[in-house]
Amino acid sequence: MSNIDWVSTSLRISSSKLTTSEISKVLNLEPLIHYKKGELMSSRNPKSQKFKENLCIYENIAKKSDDLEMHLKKIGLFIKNNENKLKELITNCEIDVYCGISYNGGQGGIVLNSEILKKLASIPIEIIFDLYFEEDEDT
Amino acid sequence: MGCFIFLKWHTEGETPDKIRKIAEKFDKSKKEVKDAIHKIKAKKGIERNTDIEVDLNTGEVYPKGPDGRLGDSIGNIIDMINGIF
Repeated sequence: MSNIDWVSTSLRISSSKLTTSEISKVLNLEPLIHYKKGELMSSRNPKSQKFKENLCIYENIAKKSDDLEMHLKKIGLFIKNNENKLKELITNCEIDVYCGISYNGGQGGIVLNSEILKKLASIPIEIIFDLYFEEDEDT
Repeated sequence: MGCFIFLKWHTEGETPDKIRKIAEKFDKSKKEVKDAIHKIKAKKGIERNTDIEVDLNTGEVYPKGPDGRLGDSIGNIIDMINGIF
């Protein structure tokens, strides 16, 4: 039985050369979230950090209800199906997969099978895991 | 003076990194808080997989450096929970 209660996987594409519209046009897909270079990271705080690059976050490739394996399968399939477009983008962009996982307990693991790994490695990208575990009640 | 107050908040523990405390303060579920923190940390340009602390008064989210010091805000958890990216 899985002890994962929440997964979120995004394809992130950032660039100082291409705008978010130009990135979306190449992929023919609108990002769920996008930020422009120079924009404040907290609109209510003028002292907050500013974005150093234009950034598109495609969080809508997998469904929230999908399990971890399905998230990574769908992202891998998207990369494989859009390999040429992503290879075009990667000359001017940085691309990575950003994956958040929340575990019910204090332990958890991740398995990436060879089929998923092959698809994810169609282009040179990094996969970043952002992990959350259940906290002790007395902290 | 402003800087002094800022540091005082942090040393008094008003910027917890515990999901439960943040959720209780803003009357949100732990799942909503984790999702919002994940979205804020997804902003590229900040140090990778950095730990964060949340100011319970303002909702501002600060990255924690390797030396434990907090950097400038990288977002606001109240805005993110409310869908203001």
